Amino acid sequence: MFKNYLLTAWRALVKQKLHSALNIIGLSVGIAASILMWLFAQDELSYDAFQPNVSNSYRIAQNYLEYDVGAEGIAVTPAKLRSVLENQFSDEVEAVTHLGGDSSNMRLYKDNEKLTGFSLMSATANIKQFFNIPTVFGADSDALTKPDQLLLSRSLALRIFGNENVVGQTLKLNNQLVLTIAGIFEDIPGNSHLNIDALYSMATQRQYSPALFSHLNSNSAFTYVQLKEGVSPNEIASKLGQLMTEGRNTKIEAFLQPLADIHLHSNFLAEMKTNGSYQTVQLALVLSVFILLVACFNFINMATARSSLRAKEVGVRKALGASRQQLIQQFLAEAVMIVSISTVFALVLVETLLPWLNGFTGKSIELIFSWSESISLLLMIFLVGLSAGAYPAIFISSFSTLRVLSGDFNRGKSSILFRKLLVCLQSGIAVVLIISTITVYQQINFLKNLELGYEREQVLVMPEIKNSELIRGFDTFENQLKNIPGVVSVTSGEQLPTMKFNFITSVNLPHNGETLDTVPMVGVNYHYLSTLGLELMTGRDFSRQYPGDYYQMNKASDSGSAGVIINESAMKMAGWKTPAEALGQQWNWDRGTTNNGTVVGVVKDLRFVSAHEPIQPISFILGYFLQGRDTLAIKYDSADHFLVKSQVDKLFGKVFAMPRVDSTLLTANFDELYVKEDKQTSLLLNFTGLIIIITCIGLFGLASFTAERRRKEVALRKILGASTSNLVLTLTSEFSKLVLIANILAWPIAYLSTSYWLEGFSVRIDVQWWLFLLASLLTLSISWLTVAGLSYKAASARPVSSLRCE
Amino acid sequence: MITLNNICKIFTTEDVETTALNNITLQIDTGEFVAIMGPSGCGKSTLLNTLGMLDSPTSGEYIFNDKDIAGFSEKALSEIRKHNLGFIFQSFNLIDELTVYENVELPLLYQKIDASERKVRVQAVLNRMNIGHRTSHLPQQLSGGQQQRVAVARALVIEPKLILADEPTGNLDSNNGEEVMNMLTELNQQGTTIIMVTHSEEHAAYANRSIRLFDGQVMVQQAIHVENLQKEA
Repeated sequence: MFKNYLLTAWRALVKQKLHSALNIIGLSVGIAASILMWLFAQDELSYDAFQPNVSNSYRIAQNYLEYDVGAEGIAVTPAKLRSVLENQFSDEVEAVTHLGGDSSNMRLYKDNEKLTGFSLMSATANIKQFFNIPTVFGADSDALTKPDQLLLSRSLALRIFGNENVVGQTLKLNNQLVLTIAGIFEDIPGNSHLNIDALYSMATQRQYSPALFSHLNSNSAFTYVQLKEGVSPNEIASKLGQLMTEGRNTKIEAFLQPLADIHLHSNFLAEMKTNGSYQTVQLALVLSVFILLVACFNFINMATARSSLRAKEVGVRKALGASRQQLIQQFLAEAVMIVSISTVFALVLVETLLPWLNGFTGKSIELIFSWSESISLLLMIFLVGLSAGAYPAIFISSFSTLRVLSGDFNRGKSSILFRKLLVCLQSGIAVVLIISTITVYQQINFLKNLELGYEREQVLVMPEIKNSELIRGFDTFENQLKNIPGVVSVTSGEQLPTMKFNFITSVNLPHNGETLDTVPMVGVNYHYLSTLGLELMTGRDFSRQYPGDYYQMNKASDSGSAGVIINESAMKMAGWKTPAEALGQQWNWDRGTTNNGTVVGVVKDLRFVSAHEPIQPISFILGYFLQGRDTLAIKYDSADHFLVKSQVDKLFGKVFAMPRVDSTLLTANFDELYVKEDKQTSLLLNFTGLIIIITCIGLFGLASFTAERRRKEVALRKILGASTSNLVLTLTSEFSKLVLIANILAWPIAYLSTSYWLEGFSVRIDVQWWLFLLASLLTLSISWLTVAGLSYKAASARPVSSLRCE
Repeated sequence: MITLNNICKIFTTEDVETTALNNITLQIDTGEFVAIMGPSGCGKSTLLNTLGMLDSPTSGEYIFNDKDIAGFSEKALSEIRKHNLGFIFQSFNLIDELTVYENVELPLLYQKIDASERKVRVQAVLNRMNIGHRTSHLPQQLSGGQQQRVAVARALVIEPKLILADEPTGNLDSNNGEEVMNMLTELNQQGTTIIMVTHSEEHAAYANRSIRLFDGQVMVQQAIHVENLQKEA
């Protein structure tokens, strides 16, 4: 019996080529898009799921409750925390491991050449208890118990030595300590929050930086714990928070982040690499469901619209003894068959589009048919086939045998209404997506084009260098830069705009006795304002003419002094009503020593990081370099960007002894701040386009059937005097009305969803009313154009040929 | 075989109530060949559909093989139909997507007959209808007469007790029409009860009883003389 069903289904498919092709194309596109989004979501959700004991592994993170650190927390913790956990929490903690952060102080050298562009971390030997890092050659992480051992990833070994198996070869740490490569490990898979290319022992790091391990004040390590049975992570977090707060001038909150949650639920300061967004995963899944729904609606619509063509067959089968159940089975089998065929085409599409997806997401997703994936695919085929086929099967099987066989067949009002409802739903989804996509695009554009308070165009940003290197070579660099045509000025700072603040402190104001909490402070060099285009409201820029501007430490009084430039928000926060009032005032802070600053200038507010963050008060201190690392910025005005960049890179590499220089543009760094939103916009745009295409395919199919069904009516109308344009209007109006109704129903949904999304921004556009009209116009035009061509053809046919067929 | 007692069929729409059959009482014995005739709209097809259990009467008794099936559900009627009744339609009603063989095999599939027996029965009935050489053809590749022979084969393959034919020659030319009537006569002579709706007096003469309807009522029932049949043969 089943063979008969499939045979009938196949032959019906071949017989109705246009309808079948439209069905299959629509379903293939919908299924392919869904699979791509599912692959993306699956990959995102799989991060670190493969680590051993993942359900009981946590990363310790923290937040300073009284400071705005520029993120929701800090991913790194004090290096000393590991020993604290081992000693003081031995009843609760099963195991602790630690990855020493990628520190600027530790660099590998080969043949006296500094190696850069990879992540070097210290680790304890028990790292394998937490992370699956398989050894390819040589020793595994047990080698990390010894101080002079090094483990490299496969790719790094290949890069440095041109060969993977380099066990026994040596590199130098800071060009001093010889480290022997004890083992090569498999590259860390892409779906992990870890970013590790080389590992050396924690004991070695302790030897180089003992201070890091002696107090709980500085954060340099990623600390992971596994808990004993029955221990609550929240309880440990609370105790740790209290411990870490002791002796600090802020309250610290600690959290235990489940390992598998880090990638999608953690965008803290100092993450090993940029994490994903759970919101984007949710968006991807919602879009995949939408597009599949739209494709299924198409199938349902076209199957029920063309049901009259199968009516005779149904009547005959019933007369010959088929029960309704058997007929439902038959048409469900047919639907599953069509979905299966569509899935084959969809998989081809997926394979073709995977390189695009991987490029878009920066991943290496592959289509692999493991047992579980194959079963999931089969389940999907059945689910989609049964869902899409259910209504047509129930509807078609309900035809009265008698009426069908006697030719008195009336499709019935309920099915026409249902089809209209589906067309409305499809069009409604398209309208909501069009409005949402344009709103998202506008909001992102708005954020990107907000007055930044600095100039981001034509500014080269050089790689970070050690402060000591900068002091040594800056003058030479600055002098020789003058020889490069197009270069206007150079400056440096611990942070440039688009970089997160590193130093946030309290400021004491003698003029009113108040203390300002959480004021970011940026150590800068001369020409910072002019190079980056910060606008002075009053006062002056830092200048060599005023030696007091540059931070100086007075050893006798054990205090520092410097000139300070503040922004407008800092000025207001300090209680000064006008910029002029702030000039010459004291701006003091403590950090081990008392520091006395004098306000020499006030600049207009600037958006230092993305517009997601509110504008913060900032103070710029000349020569106050805490981190030990600086970033140079070079302003140029030449149209030949590539020439300027190559010449500057070459000079930089020569002056600061860097074999490879990867400078960036400030505009590119700025765009990086919005990469998540750009991706979301792009995703929405692509999917909206696809949904519109699938909806058009469905409309086309319905329109062709309608034109055929109304052929006699059209012929009669023509004989009675209707013009071609009258007839086109008659045929298209059926669909235009549905799309119009869909628009009106979709507007409130679109308004609510876009308003809700916009509320997540501190600065935002208003929901634009004209967008709704535009979306309506767009959907009406697209649907009209889809249907009009067929309508015109039907309207142009000679009436007699239509009537003769009757 | 069949007894109808005061069968009424009323069709009700939103605005109109139509009495298609008005207290029909008649009896059809096993082995009879009955022609139902009458002007358009008299209720012939409604009567045939009721007799063929494709429709249920509004009131009255329908006794088929000693069972009153008037109130049976569609499921129950379907069961009786598939084992006892064969249908031949004016417009053949073959399934276009199935070959000749597959069309004739279809009723046996619904009876869950196993494959080997199906093959034997289908081939036998196709040969009997002289269409065995076209088993792989699709209906649209056959002439009208050939299609009707396939339809008759399909009706016969279940070895029905009763064949219901609704204007079986309506879409055929005179030669093919005569061929179909000869086939029905032969079947009847072999014991199959046949009830046929027809407009044609000539074809009605093949039957051995005619029932004439008018406005949903039996106007007259009359036997058709044997010498008429012999003359046609």
